[in-house]
Amino acid sequence: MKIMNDSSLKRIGILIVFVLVVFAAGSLYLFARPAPPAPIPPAPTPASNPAEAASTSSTQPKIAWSPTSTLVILSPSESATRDFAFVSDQDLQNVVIEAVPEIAGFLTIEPSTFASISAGQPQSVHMSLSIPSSTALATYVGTIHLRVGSSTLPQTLKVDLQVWRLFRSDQFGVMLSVPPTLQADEYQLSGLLGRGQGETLATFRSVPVGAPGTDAPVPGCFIYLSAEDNSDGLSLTDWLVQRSYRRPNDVDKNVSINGTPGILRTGLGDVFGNPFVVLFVSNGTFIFELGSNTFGDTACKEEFSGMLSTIRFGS
Amino acid sequence: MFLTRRWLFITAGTAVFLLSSVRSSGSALRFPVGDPSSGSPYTISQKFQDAPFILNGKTISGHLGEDWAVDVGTNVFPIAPGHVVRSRDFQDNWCKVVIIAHENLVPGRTIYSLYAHLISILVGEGDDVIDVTKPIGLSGGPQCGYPPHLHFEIKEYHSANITPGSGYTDEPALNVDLLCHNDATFFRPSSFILGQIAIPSLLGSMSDKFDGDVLNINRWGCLVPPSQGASVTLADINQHLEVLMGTGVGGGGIVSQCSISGDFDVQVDYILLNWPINNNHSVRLGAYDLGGVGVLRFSASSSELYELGPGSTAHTPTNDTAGQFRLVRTGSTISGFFRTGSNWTFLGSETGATSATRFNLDLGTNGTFAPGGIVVAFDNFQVNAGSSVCPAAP
Repeated sequence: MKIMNDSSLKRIGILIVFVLVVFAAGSLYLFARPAPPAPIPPAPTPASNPAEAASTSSTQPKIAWSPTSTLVILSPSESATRDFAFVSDQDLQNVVIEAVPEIAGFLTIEPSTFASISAGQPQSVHMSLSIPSSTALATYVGTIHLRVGSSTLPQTLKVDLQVWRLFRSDQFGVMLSVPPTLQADEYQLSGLLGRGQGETLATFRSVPVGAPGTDAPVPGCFIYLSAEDNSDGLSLTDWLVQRSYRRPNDVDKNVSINGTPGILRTGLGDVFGNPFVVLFVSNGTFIFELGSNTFGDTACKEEFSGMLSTIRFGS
Repeated sequence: MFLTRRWLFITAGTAVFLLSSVRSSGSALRFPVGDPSSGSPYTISQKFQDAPFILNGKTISGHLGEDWAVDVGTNVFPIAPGHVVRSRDFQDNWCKVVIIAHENLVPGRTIYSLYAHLISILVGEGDDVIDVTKPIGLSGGPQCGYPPHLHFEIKEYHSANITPGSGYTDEPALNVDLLCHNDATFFRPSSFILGQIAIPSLLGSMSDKFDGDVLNINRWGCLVPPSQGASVTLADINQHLEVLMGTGVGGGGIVSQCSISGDFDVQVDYILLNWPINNNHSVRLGAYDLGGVGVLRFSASSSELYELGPGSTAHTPTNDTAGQFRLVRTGSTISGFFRTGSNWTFLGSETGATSATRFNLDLGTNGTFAPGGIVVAFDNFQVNAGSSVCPAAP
């Protein structure tokens, strides 16, 4: 019987250690590996014309959009339009403008094709958005891009489409959109305002109102819409002087809400020093107020700003 | 520096108002959302001066009204006929507020009732409220970020600035039915409605032991700081008059309704209830209509002393935390004294007018670095000599 010498024993030992290391490493890999990558999309069809060839070469055209993004807040059955422009740094032919599937069903683009585009020449585009009545309340985010042949150019216009619930008061002829994160409590109150009277038409809240309590504020977002009497037919400015309360440090800013002039008042309150914001806007007969003082809720300011931008009049 | 401090006392005095009569007994007042003793389901969820809570790390205390737990849309009725002086959205945590002036509840004075966090206001400014069975508004709360409730105050304003105010004091809550605060004298609403706040009429004597548990607002007016000053709360409590002062410049106290012309001799006890060393505050017995000349216990930035002021450099170092002030006028000479033991110590004198003067008991500071939370008490104001003249009852 042949007895192994020291050298042989060393080699066997090294081999065992190697096998163990490989096994351990493999185990680690098996447990630690990330999810498999998404399937590689099929390679694009070879370009058939110079412009398309350019789009896949190192000299791919660059598209600059203006604006680069747009936020649209609409309610089901509503529509809106947006205008924007783009410019290419290269001449292009047979260009198609299209949206990704996530938003394509909500919009049409005019023009949607360009036979040719000259480098450096801005191109105007008109986008029409329409929300079917059955659309789920949600945020739909997507992009609009240029396609040349089968090549999609990477620079895009981001479209943030938020479909919110519609609040409307036919009695007062006012409406606005309400984010799905907020619950609306409508108040069926006296309806018609006498001289000097005012009513809160609705409160929009992110948390339940709960049982009656005290002055201790409830966490969450609370936004209110009020209608105030303006039977005297005062201008908004005069009404604010005569009928509103303005603290010395309040700041009034002129704003335009869908073409209607308004005043946005910001300040710190007397009671707890909370910042508050109130929009005053008039339809002639009434002064409407959209206000909140609950911006300690981080989402509330954004929700308030969004609602503010959707106020419009009519029935 | 001393002159500036004294001037602040005088400035604060501009907000004084005069009260000259008492509430008529037997006035039929109503609770805005119903009388609990008559079967109304609504109750008080936060009492006057009660139930502090924490908001953003800050303790909110000293409630200046009552909260009534009612659902949104509950009818809110006026406590009595009156005149609507405010009916508008005050934004902030106030939202829609109605303030009604009542000229007839107390002859010669105007009492205001305030109804806040309304979701609907059903009266306009300038309206006369005659029928108390008609609601003036509907209760709310959520639009202001609150649970549903009615915030309800009864008060007398110290000036013509009729706004809701702060709703709370910065100082610890006091278990009283009446207190002076910066912009108004506040009554515990339920007690006022039930006629439980007894306000004595003017007495022949100006002396006051402050033992009545309710400041006699026919004998004293509130001396409050300017609107930008520190908050000051005054209440007749614990058998003396306590003055609580928040952080900031200013001062406050009370001033007598009656005056003394000619020679006089008046005195008062003082106690320093919360008085850190070198807090830059003064507590004083002053001749209000003589430029505030008086005896002060002053906590300077590096010393504690008594002094006579203004216009005199007379001062005496001390560590007293309680004692007495005395002010004597003979002819045109006004002399100041203090006492901690059995003997009065003469502090100094100065020449002044011989005209009639009221007297003020107050606390104040001009030190912007002064700490808040200073508390002093006055007791046993006493007229030893002098003929008083009081406002005529209407």
